[in-house]
Amino acid sequence: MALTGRIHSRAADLRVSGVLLGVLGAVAFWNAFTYPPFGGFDADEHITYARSLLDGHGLPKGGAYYTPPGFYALAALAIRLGEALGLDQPERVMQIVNAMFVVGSGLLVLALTRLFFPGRPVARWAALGFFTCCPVVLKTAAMFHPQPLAMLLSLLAFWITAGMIVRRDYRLRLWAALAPTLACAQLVRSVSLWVAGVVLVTLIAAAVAQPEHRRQIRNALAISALAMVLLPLPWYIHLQSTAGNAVFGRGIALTSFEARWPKAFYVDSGLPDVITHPQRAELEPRFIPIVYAETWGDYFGIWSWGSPRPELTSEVNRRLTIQSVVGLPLTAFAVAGWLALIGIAARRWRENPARILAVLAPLVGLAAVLYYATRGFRADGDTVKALFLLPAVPFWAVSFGFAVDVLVERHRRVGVAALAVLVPCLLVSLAYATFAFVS
Amino acid sequence: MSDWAFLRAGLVAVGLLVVAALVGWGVETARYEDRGFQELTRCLNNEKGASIGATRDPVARSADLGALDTVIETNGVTVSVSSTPERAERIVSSYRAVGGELGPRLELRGRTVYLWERPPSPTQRQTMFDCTY
Repeated sequence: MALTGRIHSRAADLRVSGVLLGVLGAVAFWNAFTYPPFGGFDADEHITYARSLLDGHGLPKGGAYYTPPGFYALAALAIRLGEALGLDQPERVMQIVNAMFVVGSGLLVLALTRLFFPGRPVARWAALGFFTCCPVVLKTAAMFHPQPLAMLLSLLAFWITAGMIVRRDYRLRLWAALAPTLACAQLVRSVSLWVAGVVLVTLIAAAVAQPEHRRQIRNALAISALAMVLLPLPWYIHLQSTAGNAVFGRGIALTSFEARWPKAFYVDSGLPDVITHPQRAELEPRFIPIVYAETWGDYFGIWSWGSPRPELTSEVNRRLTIQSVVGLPLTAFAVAGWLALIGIAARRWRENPARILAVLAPLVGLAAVLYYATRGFRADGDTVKALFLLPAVPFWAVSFGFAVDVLVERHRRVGVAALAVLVPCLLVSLAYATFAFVS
Repeated sequence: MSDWAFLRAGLVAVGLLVVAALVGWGVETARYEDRGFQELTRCLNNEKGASIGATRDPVARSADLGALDTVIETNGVTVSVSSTPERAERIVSSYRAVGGELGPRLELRGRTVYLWERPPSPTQRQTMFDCTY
């Protein structure tokens, strides 16, 4: 009883949350200072885009021209600041800003978990622990890449939505915050379209579950949806007129059902290579295996191996194998928690319709990445990247937190035994996601 | 139903997914047929237009997937395909034990071994590499 009391005390909550956020911040900033600006996915294209805006040349004609300009406008300012400070690599300022975005996302993971599971601090701590130690989060945060900003804006939109539903507070100022946030998210990455879809569906569910607010939600939702479409509309029109495709901006058919991938791409588990050789030199391009290997390790060779980093030696492969092994129990708990949340949402969704966000976000996010991979065939699997799923990672963290909390609550001893396995796995992953460890 | 009941069902479902993945791997392994040699033959025949014949080379014939004789740009070559690079290395060792140091006439690429009549030109090597699986 005394232990339970201590766990639920505000002081303990502040201490544990503070330590976890401190670790997240320390590693994210360390990576931002040590990871080379040109080291991440398509970094040269992203930097060229930002420099094109900085030098007054407008939107680029090649490279990442199909990506909305929101991130690059900010990156241009960051580079200018870096130049004003006399940095050798002024692009590094944007990596530091990305680290801040990830710390902000960590705060929102805490806030979102509190809304989903009030009065359950273990769920919050476990969720933040998962988020802090997940390599795909820290790897992407270290890069010169728009995805951390897309994740932050998506999470902000999810948090505002969940807050409105849980508190039954649908005041105008909240809608005035939600609509521009979703519009801005679309102006950072078009992948944020699915985030807008999940938010709309959840609010419609809330309107059904809370009849006393139905009219208020319906009217505000209609105006907000209009704003969500109109604000980023100029970008979509630009992409349609210049590239012939308003969303992808390149030769990817939106509605074609032709797929060049073999059936195995969709169903193959990748065993045993997904565990023993989780890298592109030996693991064949398959959807789930790539997403898994990239989430916990480095399938494409942008973090712990691949030029100009170390070669893919057997020692490097051994470290990747360890990542694949420690990712297993963490993934199993996250997926089990998510499946449990699906069951709860299906049976008791009227109790807390906000939890529909936690059910839909990972599912729709995964479907969106699968859709993109199917449409944009690349034989080397280059269009399957775990970082595309970044806005959904916080919900895997929430699901993980929920699973740990329920287990510890129900079977204290089993829960402690599970934690004895899960915590070392998290720490091993955190070490891997700390760039100096592998450089 | 309590949260625990839902989580228990979730854990069971994850366990079933793991079992399904393991069973799928087992079935795939049991049904797996290494088509490396057939693919090599098809490629030489259909894509390179090379004539193929059975080889009488006993070392090459010891390769577990198969071996053949062909001619690329007037240079004869015996190709043997093993199931693993380690087995292919044993073929190379056998050649060296019988023929001494064969220089550029003998080449190992992955699990495929080439024994050329004369040192191959870059285009001859490339033709064979195009058909290596």
